[in-house]
Amino acid sequence: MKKRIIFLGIVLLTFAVGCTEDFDEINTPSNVITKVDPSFVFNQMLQNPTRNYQRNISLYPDFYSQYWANIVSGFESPRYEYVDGWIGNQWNEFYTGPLADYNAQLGFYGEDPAYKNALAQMEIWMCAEWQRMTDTYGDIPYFGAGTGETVPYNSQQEIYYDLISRLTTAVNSIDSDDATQYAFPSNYDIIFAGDLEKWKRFGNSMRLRLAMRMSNVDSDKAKTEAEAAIADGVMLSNADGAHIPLWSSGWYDYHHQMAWAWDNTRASKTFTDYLYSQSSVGEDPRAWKWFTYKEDDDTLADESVITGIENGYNTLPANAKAYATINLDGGYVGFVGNGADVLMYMPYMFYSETVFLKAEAALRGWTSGDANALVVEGVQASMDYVGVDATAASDYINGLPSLTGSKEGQLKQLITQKYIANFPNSSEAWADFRRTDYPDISLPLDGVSGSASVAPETWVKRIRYPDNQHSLNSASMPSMQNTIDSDRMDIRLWWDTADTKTKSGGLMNSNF
Amino acid sequence: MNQKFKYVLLFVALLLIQGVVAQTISGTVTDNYGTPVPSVNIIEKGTTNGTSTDFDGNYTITVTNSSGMLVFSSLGFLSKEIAIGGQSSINIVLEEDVEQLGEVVVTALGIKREKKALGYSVQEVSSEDITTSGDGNVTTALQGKVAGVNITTTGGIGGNSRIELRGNSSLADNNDVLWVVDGVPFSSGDTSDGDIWGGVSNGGGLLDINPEDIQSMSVLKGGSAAALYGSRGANGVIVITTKKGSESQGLGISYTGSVVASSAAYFLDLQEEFGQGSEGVYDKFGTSSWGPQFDGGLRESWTGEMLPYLAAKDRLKDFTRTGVTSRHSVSLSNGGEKGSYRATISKDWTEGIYANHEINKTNFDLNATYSVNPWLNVDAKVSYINTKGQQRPEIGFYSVVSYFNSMPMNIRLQDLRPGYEIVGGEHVETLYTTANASYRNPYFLREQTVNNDERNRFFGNFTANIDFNENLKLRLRYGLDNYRYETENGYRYGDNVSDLRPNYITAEKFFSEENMELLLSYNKDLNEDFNLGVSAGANKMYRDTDKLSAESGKLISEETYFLSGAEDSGTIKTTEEFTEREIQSVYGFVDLSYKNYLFLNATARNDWSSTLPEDNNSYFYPSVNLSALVSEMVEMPDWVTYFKVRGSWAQVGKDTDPYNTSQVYTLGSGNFNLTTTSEPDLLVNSDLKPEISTSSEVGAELKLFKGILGIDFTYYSEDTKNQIVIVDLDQSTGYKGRYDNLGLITNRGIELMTTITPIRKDDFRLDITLNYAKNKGIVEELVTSVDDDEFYTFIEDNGGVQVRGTEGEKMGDIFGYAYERSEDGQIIIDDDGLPVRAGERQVLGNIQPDFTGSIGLNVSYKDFFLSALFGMQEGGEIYSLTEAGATGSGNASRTAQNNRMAFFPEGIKADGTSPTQIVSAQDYWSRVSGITEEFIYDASYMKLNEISIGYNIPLSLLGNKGSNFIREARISLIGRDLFYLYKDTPGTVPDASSYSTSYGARAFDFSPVPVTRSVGCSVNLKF
Repeated sequence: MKKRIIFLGIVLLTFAVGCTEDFDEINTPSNVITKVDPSFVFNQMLQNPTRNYQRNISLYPDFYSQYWANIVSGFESPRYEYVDGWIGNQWNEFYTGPLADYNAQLGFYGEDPAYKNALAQMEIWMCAEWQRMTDTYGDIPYFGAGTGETVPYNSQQEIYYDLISRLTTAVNSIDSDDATQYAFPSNYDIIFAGDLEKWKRFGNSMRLRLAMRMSNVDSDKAKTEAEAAIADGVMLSNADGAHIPLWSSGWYDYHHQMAWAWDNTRASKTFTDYLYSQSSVGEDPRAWKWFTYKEDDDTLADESVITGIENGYNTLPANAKAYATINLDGGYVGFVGNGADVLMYMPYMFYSETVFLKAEAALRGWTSGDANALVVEGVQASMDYVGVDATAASDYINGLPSLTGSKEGQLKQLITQKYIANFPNSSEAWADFRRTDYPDISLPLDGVSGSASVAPETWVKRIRYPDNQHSLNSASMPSMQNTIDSDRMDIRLWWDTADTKTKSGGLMNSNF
Repeated sequence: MNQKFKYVLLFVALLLIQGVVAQTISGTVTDNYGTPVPSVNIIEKGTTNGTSTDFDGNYTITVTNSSGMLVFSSLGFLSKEIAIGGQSSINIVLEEDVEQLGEVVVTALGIKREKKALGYSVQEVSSEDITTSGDGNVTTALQGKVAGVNITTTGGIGGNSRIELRGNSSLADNNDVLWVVDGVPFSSGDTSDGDIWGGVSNGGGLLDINPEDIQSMSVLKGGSAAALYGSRGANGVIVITTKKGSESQGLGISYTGSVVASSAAYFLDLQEEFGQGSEGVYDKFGTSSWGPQFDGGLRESWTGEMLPYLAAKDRLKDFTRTGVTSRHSVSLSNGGEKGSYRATISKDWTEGIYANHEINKTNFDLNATYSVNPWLNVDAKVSYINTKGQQRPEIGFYSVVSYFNSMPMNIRLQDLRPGYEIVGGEHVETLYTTANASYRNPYFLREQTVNNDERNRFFGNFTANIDFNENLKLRLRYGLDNYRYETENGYRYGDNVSDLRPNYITAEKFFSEENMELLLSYNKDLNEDFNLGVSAGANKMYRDTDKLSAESGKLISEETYFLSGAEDSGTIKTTEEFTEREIQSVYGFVDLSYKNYLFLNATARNDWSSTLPEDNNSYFYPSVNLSALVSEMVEMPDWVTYFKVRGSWAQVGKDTDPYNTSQVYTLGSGNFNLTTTSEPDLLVNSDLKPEISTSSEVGAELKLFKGILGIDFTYYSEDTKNQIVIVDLDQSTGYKGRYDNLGLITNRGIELMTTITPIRKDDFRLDITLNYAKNKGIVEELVTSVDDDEFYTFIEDNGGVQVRGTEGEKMGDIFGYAYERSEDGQIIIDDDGLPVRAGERQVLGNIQPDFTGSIGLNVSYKDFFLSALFGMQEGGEIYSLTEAGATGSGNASRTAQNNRMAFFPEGIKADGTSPTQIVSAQDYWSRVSGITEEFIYDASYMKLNEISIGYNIPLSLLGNKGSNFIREARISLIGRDLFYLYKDTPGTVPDASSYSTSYGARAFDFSPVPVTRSVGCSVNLKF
């Protein structure tokens, strides 16, 4: 009996005297890190604009800029309806993606002087992304956002002012000669391959873009900042352009899906018409680089010219697929990639855009440059990037009329060329249209949808806040827009000063 | 030779001597009504010599002392002692123990207790109840057999099924019950559910349980019953006791076999009048059925041939095959004074109704017990299980059902077959229109998509029972559940939907859970009236999973369907996952009884969980319950034979998954083969607490008219708070959500089980069992620490239609789009002449039924018996996503109304005037397909769940040879899901039709695989 009791005692001890000290170790996964190397997030941050390209861009700015048109009956966004499952992703992806990653990096390395350059590169990129966000929505949560706490919405003006100042600081803080600095491995900096001077020029060019956006609402500040940005050095050539490569082994819902594989979109008639209406030579030599016809049962009567389809059908005509679409073999680098690991490039900022920005600054008298010469330079830069041969390019350029007539008229010519050159960077084209109301962009053919929060016969001016904000953060929203009904998509942003409907004789009177 | 002969002689002599001293007695044991009673234990008193009756109540025993006594005992009967007195034939009648004093059930921790002493409701399901229908899935075999148990299934054979006890108490859909087999938790892990977009449904671990090996299942529904399981018992526990060996008269071999054929039986109602095209115009490459009316005339089809323009009827039915399931199980069992054993081998071959869809299973079980000495008894159980799934069907919009429901009605199966052409050695999909993910060839899809899996499981325990003395006992147990699970997915061939196919994905996972347990029990009669039992125990659970998965990226060709066959070795990605958790527990309980009619039981358990923050990881779970046998305490009228009242209260809890309390970063390989990581979408919470469920129940058990009528009534309530859920965050915080404790869900309900035995004649018996359960789950509170404006949570969110838990409302409101209506309720028509969809979603129904029930019938007449089980649900709504989709594509039968003439939809314009715009049927139905309200159906139904008709073959029929050899033979015809007596859904069924088993998915009629009807037969033989 005694033995049994001793035995029992031992067994009880083994069991009962458990120890919970190793719980901490048990509850920590063994395959994770707790401090993140900047390159691991930087390469992802740079690819953020390509995420959900279809829902965020193809279905919104691509249609609203009228580079592309929808060919699926009943799609909501072409007639200005908001779909949360589509562009609602842009909000979510930005705030919970690059912004949260960047804030975590500031936490890890903000105090470490060896990461000054790396954080400045990220900062420049974040400023660019912030602009894309505020230009989509208007006022948004900005100061303190992405840190785990709900913060108020800030006005677009405050955001613009702060972005300009952040860009200036970031560009100035990059020291490309400091060998002690952490440097991104060049393959991780998928846009500029670790070239710090290009980052600086990109930062200044972004500052110029921001400044120009304020031209009609805050022209003094716009002028000052534009001059300063140009003086500090903007992009110098197509080699400086910001283009996001799409990996040939990855999978993207970029234009080759929408305009080709899925047959969801075709070239917009608005855009293709501009390819035949500008130069006395007639056809823009970029037309067939960008577009072609897909072999299909349906064909257009005349396929010797590129013809797009009108925007804003509700029920599409049966031959919708017959219209021109993306040319995957046309030689345009953005659509054919580098023939190796890059399938395509998504433009984030063309070099030609900075030239057109300089042209506009000259037209506005902010700088001493020759606006006309700069427009030609911009068109040439675009021709070069698209891969047009020199003769065709110069024939086209020689056939372009010089900037003539009223300032509004000249601006319209300038922006129209910029519009063509910016293809397929639709976010920027839509922003230019909202700011200047140029070029002429049509209303949806079948009218603004009755379910859209855009008044009939009125252009869409912004995207409404996502459902997530309306259900969880409406208290922080601008008071005039804090319900789904009042958060309308025909409300103009801070820098968009004029109603497109005031256009008379093809011209506005709001840009100067 | 001589020597051998001597031995034979000696042996014969011994037999003769034995014959002189011993006496053989035989006879039959029957009950009051003359029905033979099988399995009655017969023991020669004062010895270990014993036997038991066979199926016909017959026994034979050789006694050593012909003037001794025989003791006859059986569960549910009063024991009887008979003096042998030299008789060679003793037929006896056993009195039924109507007070059920002897009824014993298995409760928490595997402790057998008299049912009368329990202060809570326990429903036990016998092995026969589970195996009658020939269903190899232990979960679905429970359907309708226990009140308050709701079982959801999806995905066809081998698909997932989920069991929910007494309603949903979890906002996070965390309702998994704990399965315990012979005292050891059995992992139900690696189940998978699809969603509306795709995926695969896989019944996971529970399919491994062999129904043939089950002796009984105890369903511990309430907190009190499960309190001793602490943090793992919060959703209820199902305790399975497997069959043990016993002494056998014959060879001890038994065989059970069944063959069941299942065929697709329930389909959406489709129109058969209009074909391919748009607005009444034929289009050979059209993708919907808005073309002209069928006229039988020749038209150029998508294949280029001239084909008669006719409806291709019953496509989905003809696409499927009859799936045959055959199950064979052989067991060998025997035992003696010192111990017993039982060994079983079972094989299942199950075919799904889609070609190549198969689930095959092998179970091997060995159960042994041995009494080493008077104070030590050892039990060991070892199970090996192999389950293989092959070509499980895809779910959701990309399922075969979805493709057929939207495919133009004239497209014929024979033109789609075989689904591909071989071009340049590669399979190329045969498409009836331009390549698009929405218009696929189902034949090709079944060949192209790979969904295979295999699990090898080892499960067992080793238990030692030590009796220190009559009062003090110790049980020590080590249990192990260990499996390796492999999956193979991907696309075997390329297609035009994605340029990344073919591709190959494989994964393997190792799961292991160890439990070490001890239980020390002391029991003593304090005096004549009081008995006291005290037990204390401890358990240490350690679980660990390792998973390694790899995917190829695009393969060179379909010939290189393996990892290294990737076109670019840079696209080969591997991922590893580890989880680890430990729970340490101590527990104890006290049983106090007074005069054998008043019973008090109290339990306590404390758990320490590794998944909770250090300061919050210790939790205490108490319970108390009381049972009073009123019929023993006070004088009752004659017709009341048994009356018991009971009540209980308990608190149980749930911890969280591992790694929810600290922020960490996982590395991955991104585009351009760059190493990537990102801030997690979820903000962790270092203040997480366990969930707490407080439950109480009261009940009564009545047996009236000598057991002809039995009633068991329960009222329960359960409040679950501190739910660990992911709370949606304002995304501008940088995070999509955070783990938090919040909310209070209450479930209140009643359960009523009635048994009626109106006929109990000599050879005719009828038993009726009625189960009724009503539960109402309410979201009482839904306040988060993050945002006190939070007023609802999405339980399920599928674009248009959402299932929500809204504060103050019933769980599971279905939110969707209604028609915009004028003040007097008329539908508003827009300028295009079409009905307007209201802007904001509104409540259109709720998924909770008013009540559920079942009716079981058991009839035995002579050697024939019949059992039937009807299941039903009253109330609750369901949204037919299937029909909404088919309405948009012009396939649903409703779209053929009025010959598709253009018409003025009913309603008024917003300004009150009559509509002036006439609309086409296509425009009308395309609009209507997006209006949820139109597709909400009543989810009530009543169906015949299962039926079996059997015959016990009299041994006399087997002839001399047979009856010497065969001790029992039974043959049955079985049927499952034969028909619905009532349902409202359009051709589809409301109870087994969703894409997932998640709580909210019940709101959707959207079946991935047609629901089947099964018939078959089974054979039971004992040797």
